[in-house]
Amino acid sequence: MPMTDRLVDQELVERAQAGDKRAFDLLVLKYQRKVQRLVSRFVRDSGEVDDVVQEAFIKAYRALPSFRGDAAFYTWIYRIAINCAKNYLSSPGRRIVAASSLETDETEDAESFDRNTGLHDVATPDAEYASKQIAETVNRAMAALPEDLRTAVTLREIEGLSYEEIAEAMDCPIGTVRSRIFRAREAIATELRPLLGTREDRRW
Amino acid sequence: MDTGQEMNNTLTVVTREQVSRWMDGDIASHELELAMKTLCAEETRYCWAELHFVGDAIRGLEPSKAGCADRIRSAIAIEPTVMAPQVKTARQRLEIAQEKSLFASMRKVGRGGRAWATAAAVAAVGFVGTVVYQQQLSLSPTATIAQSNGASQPGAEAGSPVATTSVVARNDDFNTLLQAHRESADASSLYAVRQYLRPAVAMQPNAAPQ
Repeated sequence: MPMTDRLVDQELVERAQAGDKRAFDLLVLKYQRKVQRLVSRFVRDSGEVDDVVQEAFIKAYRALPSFRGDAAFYTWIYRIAINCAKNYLSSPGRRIVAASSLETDETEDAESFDRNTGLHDVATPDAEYASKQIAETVNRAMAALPEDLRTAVTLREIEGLSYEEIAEAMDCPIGTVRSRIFRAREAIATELRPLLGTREDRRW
Repeated sequence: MDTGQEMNNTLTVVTREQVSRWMDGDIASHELELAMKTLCAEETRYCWAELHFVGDAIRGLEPSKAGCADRIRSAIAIEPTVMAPQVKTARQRLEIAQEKSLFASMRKVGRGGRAWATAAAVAAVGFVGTVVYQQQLSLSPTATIAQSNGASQPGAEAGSPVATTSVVARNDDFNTLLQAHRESADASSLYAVRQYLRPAVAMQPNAAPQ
């Protein structure tokens, strides 16, 4: 029986709890954009968003001993990020508050934030241009994919289906699903690479 | 300048495909150790980051500011290393989940499965019982004693269950002892267990059974 996405996170958390900082780094790489989007609902300035995101991950790292795995890691890190954002906003001199966001229930499932539009009113023109370029490139790459690859990667990335569920939906072996998803990602990554920057200045 | 393309060129397609499925949780418990070791290597870390970037881009998430993860990594690097006590590991959880899955599969088999299990158990008991009974039969006192006295027993010859156990007295004192026992024993004390008793017939060496 394969592991779930959540169990992989849990394994990484346990390694980080055992002193492996690289494992925590993999979690940062996985969740930084989701946390960033969540924080951007509270804090509008993109520079301040980065500060809050960084603070959230550092606090999460310090609090790792208290994480027992009863909840999913992403639920835990999102809660920490919301608290960091609220503390940041309540600190003296901070008045940029998205009022509707503060009324959001903290226990709301983190996935729902992904579907909402982030607030980037104070985003720099360069950042906006880069985002637009990436979005257009991804859309173009997706459109150029063969139908079966596009369907497989959409079911995985957008709908969040497991490989078993995708195999059932597409009526094909699970090995074919693995291959299709990988080939789709590779095709999109190839198109995106020129936009990702160098190792010293990459987009993550 | 070290580009992402150069970083990816150091990884084989097989490894990149592994990273692709591992990040989706498609990972068996036996390859977990390999996966964690592989993912923590610098080249694989880049692949992990890139494939997650692709997924987030498909979902329409805004890219982070360049070098954001590296800044966080630098900040974490100067933090004291966490050494938390381990509770139940993810692997243990997976094994528990697998056990649950196994039990669920057995439950799906339902009554048919239980009936097969019961039938198998009954067959095993029956087989062992038959073997033991046949061994006892071949070593029964009737056959042994009768053979030792040169007498033949119809039941033993036929190999059928013996309803009456014949005891051949080896000397005359036995009948005297038996008679004395019958006269002195309190028959009522045997009432409760009489259903388990079988009549004993005393035989003279050269006399016909009575």
